[in-house]
Amino acid sequence: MNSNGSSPHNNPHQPFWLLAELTYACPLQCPYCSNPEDFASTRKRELNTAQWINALEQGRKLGAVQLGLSGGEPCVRQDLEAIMLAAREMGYYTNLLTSTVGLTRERIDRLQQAGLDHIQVSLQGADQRISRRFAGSDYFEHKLEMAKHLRAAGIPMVLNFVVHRHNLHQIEQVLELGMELGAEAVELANCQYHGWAMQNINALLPTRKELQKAEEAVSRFRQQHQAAMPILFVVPDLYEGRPRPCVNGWGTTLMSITPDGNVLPCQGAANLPGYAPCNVKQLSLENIWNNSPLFERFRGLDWLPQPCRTCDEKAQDFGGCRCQAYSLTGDAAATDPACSKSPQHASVLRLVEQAAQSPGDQLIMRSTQRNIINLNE
Amino acid sequence: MISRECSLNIKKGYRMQWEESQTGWVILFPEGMIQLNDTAAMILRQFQKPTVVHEAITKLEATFPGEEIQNDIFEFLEDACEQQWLEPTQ
Repeated sequence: MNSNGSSPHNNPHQPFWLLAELTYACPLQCPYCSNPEDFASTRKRELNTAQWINALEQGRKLGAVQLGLSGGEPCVRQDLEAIMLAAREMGYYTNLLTSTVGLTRERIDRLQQAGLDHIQVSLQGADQRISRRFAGSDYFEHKLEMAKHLRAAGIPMVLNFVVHRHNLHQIEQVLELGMELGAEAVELANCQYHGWAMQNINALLPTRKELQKAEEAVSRFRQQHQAAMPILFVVPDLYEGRPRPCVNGWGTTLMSITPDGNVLPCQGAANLPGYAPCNVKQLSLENIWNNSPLFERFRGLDWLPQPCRTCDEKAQDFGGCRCQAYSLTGDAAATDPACSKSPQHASVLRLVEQAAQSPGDQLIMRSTQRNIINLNE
Repeated sequence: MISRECSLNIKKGYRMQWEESQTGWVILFPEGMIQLNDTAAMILRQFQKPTVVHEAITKLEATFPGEEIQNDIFEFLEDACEQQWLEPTQ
């Protein structure tokens, strides 16, 4: 690869969405975290402020316009305001994805002045008890307080609630909370089962019946409130029989940068074997986006295996999620087994069955120390 | 229904800007973007600050002298409000 920048070859795609994982450090221990299991190893090699700003400038020139400031917990970074200000001046629309831990009213005001456009607040539960169980500590009241201040400051706020078998029953409460807090929308998110979420799949994956009830609750709520507050709820693809069009197609829309500067087509790709990611400290983003082996590996439709290659839905879902394919079949280039057409779909059905049979009462919390919670205690 | 006396502006939290990489105007909102054609951009740019509809129409008519554009503008504004790109000034 040319290390002083190459001209873009036949790549018509611009990375509209730049996800900046500023740090993997986070005070929460959510057992479905999409960060790598060895997240702590990057702490000593995080990009500094100047390096982040430089990366963002390069991203902007490539056409990135939506910026996600994420992590771990981005508020752990003391230079968050400086990065935000620089990003806004470059013309990014800034989205802060946060647990709110590390925010105060004053910090919210500073971030607003620095150019914060939108904030996504994570919820681990609709009440103190479930929130503590899944976050690992008491943050619920703080989240509510920060949400109220965000509303008062007029910062658009979306609530993100990762749903699983132990909190699905709280969907209505979460939606009510969203209305109360003046959220622009509520996202009821599902885990992609790899990494931490895969380790905890028995404790997380809801049954089809539980999901049905949840869908009914969402439907009722929408009717009652006449869709005043948009709700995004997608049933886990393991039940759909069709995979998700992951990242809108590999290397077409999203570019993700890890805390130590590795550039990925999706956050989960750090763990895919065989293709070491390129790093923004050594190569230009333009070069990486256009030429890096990891980006090129699954770009377009030509690489697709059967049955995808001759499937008339291939342009809709691009063969599904690479990380899930790797996690469930051992082969990142396989058809996502969430698809009923995959020869390995039976393994997904077995997994789902196993989760349903399991009491699912043990959680391996996201931690560098072995921290296993028994939900019955 | 929109009247000539209505004041409208780009929805709070949304932003209109020129995107060099696309040689065009876009509307940005939480986690999303809409690319605007030239006509849409021209009309919406009138409402980047709260503006009364009839004032915007007067300005736009000056750009297209002699053409009957009022109805088209109204139709567009109705649509833009439904899409939530524009909102009545709070």
